[in-house]
Amino acid sequence: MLKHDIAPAMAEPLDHAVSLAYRELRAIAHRRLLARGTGGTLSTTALVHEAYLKLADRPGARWHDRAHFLALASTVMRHLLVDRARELHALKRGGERRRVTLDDDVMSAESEPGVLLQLDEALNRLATFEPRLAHVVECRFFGGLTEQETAEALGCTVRTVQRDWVKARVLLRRALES
Amino acid sequence: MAGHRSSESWVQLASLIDVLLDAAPERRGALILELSAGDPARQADLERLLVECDVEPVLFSRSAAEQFVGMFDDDVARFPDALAERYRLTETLGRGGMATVYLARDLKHAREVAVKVLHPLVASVLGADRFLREIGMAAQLHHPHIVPLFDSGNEDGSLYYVMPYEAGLSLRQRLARDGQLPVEDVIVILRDVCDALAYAHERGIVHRDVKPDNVLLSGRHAMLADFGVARAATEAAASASGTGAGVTVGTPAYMAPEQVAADPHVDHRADIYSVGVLAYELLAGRLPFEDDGWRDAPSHFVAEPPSLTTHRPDVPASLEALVMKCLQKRAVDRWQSADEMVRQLETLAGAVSRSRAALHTPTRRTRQAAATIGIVAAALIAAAVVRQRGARGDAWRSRWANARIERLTDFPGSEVDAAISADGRSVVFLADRDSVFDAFVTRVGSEQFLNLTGGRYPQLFNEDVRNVGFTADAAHVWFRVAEIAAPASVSLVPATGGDARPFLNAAVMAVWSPDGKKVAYHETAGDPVYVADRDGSNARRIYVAEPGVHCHDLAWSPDGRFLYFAKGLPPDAMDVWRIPSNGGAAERITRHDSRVAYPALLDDRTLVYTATADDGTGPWLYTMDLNDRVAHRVSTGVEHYVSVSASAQRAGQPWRLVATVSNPEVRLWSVPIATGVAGEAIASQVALPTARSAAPRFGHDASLFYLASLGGADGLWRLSGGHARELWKSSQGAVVGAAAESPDGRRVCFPVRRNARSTLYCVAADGTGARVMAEGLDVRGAASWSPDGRWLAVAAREGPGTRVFKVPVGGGAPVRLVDSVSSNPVWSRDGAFILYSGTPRARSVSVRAVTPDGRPHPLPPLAVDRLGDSYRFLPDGKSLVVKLGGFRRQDFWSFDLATGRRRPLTALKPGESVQRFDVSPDGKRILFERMRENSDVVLIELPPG
Repeated sequence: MLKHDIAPAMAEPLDHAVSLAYRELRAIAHRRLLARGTGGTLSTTALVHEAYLKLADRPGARWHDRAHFLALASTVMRHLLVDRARELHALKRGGERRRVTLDDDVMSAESEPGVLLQLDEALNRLATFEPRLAHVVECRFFGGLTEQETAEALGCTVRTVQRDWVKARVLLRRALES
Repeated sequence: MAGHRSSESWVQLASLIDVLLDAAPERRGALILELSAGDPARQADLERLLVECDVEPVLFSRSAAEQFVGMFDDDVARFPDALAERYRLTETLGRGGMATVYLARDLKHAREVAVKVLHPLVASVLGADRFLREIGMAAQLHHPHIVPLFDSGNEDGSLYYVMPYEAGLSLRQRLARDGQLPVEDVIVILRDVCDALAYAHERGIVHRDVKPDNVLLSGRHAMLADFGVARAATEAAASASGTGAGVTVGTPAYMAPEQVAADPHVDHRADIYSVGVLAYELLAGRLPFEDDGWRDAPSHFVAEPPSLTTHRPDVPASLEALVMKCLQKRAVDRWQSADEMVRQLETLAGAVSRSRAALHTPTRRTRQAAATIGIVAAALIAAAVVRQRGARGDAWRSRWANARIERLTDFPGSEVDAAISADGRSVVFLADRDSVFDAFVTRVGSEQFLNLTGGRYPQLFNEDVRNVGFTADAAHVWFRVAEIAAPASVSLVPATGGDARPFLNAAVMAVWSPDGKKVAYHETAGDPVYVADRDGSNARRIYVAEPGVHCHDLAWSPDGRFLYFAKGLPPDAMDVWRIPSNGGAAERITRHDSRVAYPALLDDRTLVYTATADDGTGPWLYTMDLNDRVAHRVSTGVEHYVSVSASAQRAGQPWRLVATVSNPEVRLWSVPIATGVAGEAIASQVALPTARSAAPRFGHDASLFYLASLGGADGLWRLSGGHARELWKSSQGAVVGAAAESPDGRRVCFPVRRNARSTLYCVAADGTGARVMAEGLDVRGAASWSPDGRWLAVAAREGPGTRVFKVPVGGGAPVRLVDSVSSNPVWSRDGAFILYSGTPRARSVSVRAVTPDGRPHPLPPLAVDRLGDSYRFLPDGKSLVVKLGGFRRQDFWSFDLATGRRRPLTALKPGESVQRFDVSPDGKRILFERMRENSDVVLIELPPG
């Protein structure tokens, strides 16, 4: 079991329905990981498909909104990946930190889960000042959502998402390089 | 801007970006000057900031899940130390999503065992108690088709279980090796799996994860493994979700709809659904629903799987019905028990083996590559129930079902272009057994071969046309004579040997009418078709196609009313057409627009011919009932059908056909470019993990793109750092041309053929984000990038021929660059011109050049071999490597674009066909695609109508 359970990065209260959905998404993600042997990938939209199928007609749940699900699933993905990166990091390197940047080539990033931890920290800091930018990164990078999906999930225009994405990239790159 | 970033500076930076980007792009320079107010450092900072806005960080180029999913594979499932007393570890057999499998020696019982150790993450999610309980229940199962459980336990927190070691393959490995499995084998495997399930279901145990990975093959029989594990995982996931709702674990592609939806009442019928998916995959070589992991799991709810026969025409109707019944969405509509399926399968197995026994013919082939002949599989249809579509439409099935096949030749090298006499007794074909191609004749059953031409004629074989055949009475053999600088002519030689004499002095082929009174032939230029008296006199031109279009392979209908022929752009944009034999309009019969050749008529309504399939595979053997005009592929298996010819109908006797079949070997070879001429001895085959490899293209970072397949149609592969992987594959089509990598290495474009059309696709360097470029273009061959990365040059169909276009990469309409027939564009390194091939003349074509705005660009005269790639630039951009020569004798030369000076680079062994090639970025070697045909002549006997 992953050590860190629900640890919302976004400073907003999870009401009952949301926490239900959150747990559901998390469970599905775990199952996905168990079934990965045949080359299945972990994808947010797939999580949402499955969770939505299950929760859509549950009494009391207000799931008319796939967009809300997408945002939530992106948060789940972020936690799942960051938690795992933390575990591996502790396991492999005894907590030692190696400097990483957003422009390390992908292969070394893959063998270096540390980049996810540092990004996670930077994102937490960013969220305190520019929360929407942090949400965009969560959706686009951790959730793998398209610009359109991100716009739906965050209730803004595609243009805003594009601009926020540019800004967030610049800010995060500089945060990690500093 | 260094130092720990404060909140303030983040907010400032963000608004600064807004200010910059809000300005129109052309205004930004001035804005920066304004904002920096004469401070050069500030100006530089702002300029850098603007650049940064445009650059996507490498980390963000793909989603986190895609990049980091590997974290969950972390190999920490070690072989527990505490087990070492009982099991001596031999080697690691493999690692799956849930466990690592080790081969070990069971010291107590002196036997080989497989020890499966769950990954720690999996183990922690499952929980030791639950795992041991479920695995304990599975241990109660004793059945010949269930892999028994020897032992299980929890050591140092590692959960493991022990099974007998089966040296055989898993069904997954067999599928990866063979693609589609023979129908007979599938029936046996399904029977065994269902037998195992029937036994387990009776004891209340549902497997929940039936898939090829969990079926082990032992000889011809199958054993089901891993009972209990999926169930333990299911329970674990349910409790992890904390909702109390039912949850399930499995492999989505194989899961029943109710299992995907986590219906808490999933029962044994979910296993029956999975068996259906498994069966479908074994027969079709693909899943019923194209599934990229989990994304499409919902398709199990709504989509109907395509009929099995669309992928595999030879699947008996009763077997297809059995499989489709498993795949019903509602459990009540499926087979209700595995036991019922066992009975059905046993009936089916009996029927199939009876029909198979009747069909076993001795073959003369002893070579190692003695592949099963495809039609034999089609014969399995015989015993199966006739499909519901009605006997008329399915007459072809029963006819081919009872085909008898015999291999006539086993020469080394190639045998091609076989023809059978009208009486069905003699066969003539071309073979290169005695070095060059000669015409050989044989009497069926004699096993005696007579070389009629004895090496006296150069280039007897032209692969685009029929080159040899019999006169109506079979007393003579005709053959095509190709003289340098003269049109082709047809000569006759007695079928018993002797001197040849000229017959038609301007003709490519001749074919006599069934009554022997007329002869039809076509000439070379424009392929006009003539009908003359039997001796060639009184010739009358009855048809000529539009300019640039070819008409080959004439064949009479048995009633003499029609001439059938292959018409189009050779080699691979052809179809069968017919004209009344006394003249008239041509009528198109088939609709493949592929490599269609060798039409032959069995009777007035039954056509057979060879054609490549829509996905570019083949050629295969096809038949068509001319009344309903539906094309049916009758050959299955891997052998290609390179030609076919039919005898006349003989009262009460089987029809006889001869075909040339081949097991072509297509591989990449490498030859150095040196100061001298490189001989065959220093050419070497490139070691690649795929059996077939074609269309090489060097890419960035010392990588290599090529086309290959592990079975089925070609996909795009990339070899990089010694590691080859499939970059992209089409779910329904095939990649049919070489890759074109963008100058910045970020994109790769290639043609994909699907539904008889080729479209240009572009993907990112990692194979993701496929999109279609210039959708309206039916492209032919590889594309070529302009050096500035803004345009792609590509040839596309337009009317009867292809034209070269340039396609704006950023979107917009394609621009035609050349108004005449043109193909094979290659952009020059400096971007100043585009090389292309003009109108082909037989095997050769002249090379021209055009500027990017469509004006002719001067070039020294050059004619090259036109098939595959004909020219590639050397790194200096001023000279080319060109492929010269012709059929099965091609070599590379260098060619100086300024002076026209040329020099031979290679002296390769003739007899093999060199098609696509590329020059390495350092200009030191040529990588080329080489095909060896390995063909033989077979005799096919079909029962009379």
